[in-house]
Amino acid sequence: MTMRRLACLTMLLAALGGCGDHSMSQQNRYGTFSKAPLFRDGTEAQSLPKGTVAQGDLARARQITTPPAVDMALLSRGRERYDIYCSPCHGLSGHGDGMIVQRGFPAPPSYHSARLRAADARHIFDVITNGYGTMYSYAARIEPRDRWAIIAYIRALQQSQQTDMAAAPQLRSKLP
Amino acid sequence: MPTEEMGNRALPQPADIHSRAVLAVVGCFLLFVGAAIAGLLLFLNNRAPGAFSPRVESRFPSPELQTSPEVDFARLEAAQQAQLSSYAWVDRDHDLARIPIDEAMQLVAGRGEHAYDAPQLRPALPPRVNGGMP
Ligand code: HEC
Repeated sequence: MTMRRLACLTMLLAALGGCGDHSMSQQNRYGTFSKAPLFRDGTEAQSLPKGTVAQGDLARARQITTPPAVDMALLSRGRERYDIYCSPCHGLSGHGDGMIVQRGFPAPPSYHSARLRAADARHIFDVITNGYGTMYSYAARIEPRDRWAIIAYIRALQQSQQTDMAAAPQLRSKLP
Repeated sequence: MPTEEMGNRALPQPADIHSRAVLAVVGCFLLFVGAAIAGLLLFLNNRAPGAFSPRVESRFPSPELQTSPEVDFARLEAAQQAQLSSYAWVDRDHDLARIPIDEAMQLVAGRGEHAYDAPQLRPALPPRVNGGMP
């Protein structure tokens, strides 16, 4: 008896399943950018309420304006980030001769040129944030604090490739 | 047709060709060709002096194929690391040298709040009286 009832129920369900479109492609909702009388301004594309701040925005803004103190930990972090993000084009030593350039990409200027040695840290920060000429922006990939770390490391690169020996007499004995 | 009749038949055309006229025509033709060649050479010499020098073989850049990207990269990295880990004079006259990056990082870390400043670089001029500081 129960077997028969179960069979009847299954058939009924199968019959019900057959009617109507169950793919859910037709839904009772607004399409992108369509008219939306429910909202006061009548459009589906609602902008953020005035004064909205993303989580962490204030901290990020602070990171942008106040460079972190430079110590070996920050420099090591900068070295790691630089080797990952910048060295493919700018080269490990910053001469603008990375592998991408060897393979035909326009060569960036050397960090050891007089102009870039004299460049402001803020300028380099802006270049990372907004891109510069052929170079695209790294804002989405590098946190502001890491940008500062990279800049500090670029300063170390510049120091390394061109050190005034009069200012570092203790190293003179190591020179050939 | 009997054969003797064929032998007696008159030739269809008299043999007296005006050889002088033929020679004159051929001569004129050769003269004309010679003059044309000479004129053309003169003209080309004037207008396109390089026209008769052998064509320069144009060279397309060879395709930049890498047979072994790993080896290429290892070589480049080694060369650049060497630049970051050795002592060498850059400009002995102006006392400028290359030092290992670790030393340089120590120096920059030691600068304190001036770590982000553009590195002091004495201009390639004789040092000033106050020791080159601004
Ligand atoms: C895809 C290759 C590429 C990468 C990766 C790259 N750059 Fe560049 N960079 C360039 C090129 C090309 C230029 C020259 C742009 C121009 O002059 O049009 C340049 C220029 C610069 C300049 C000089 C701007 C000036 O004033 O002339 C700085 C500073 C710089 N890059 C910093 C960085 C830093 C820091 C990173 C890593 C976060 C980085 N770049 C990553 C290609 C790259």
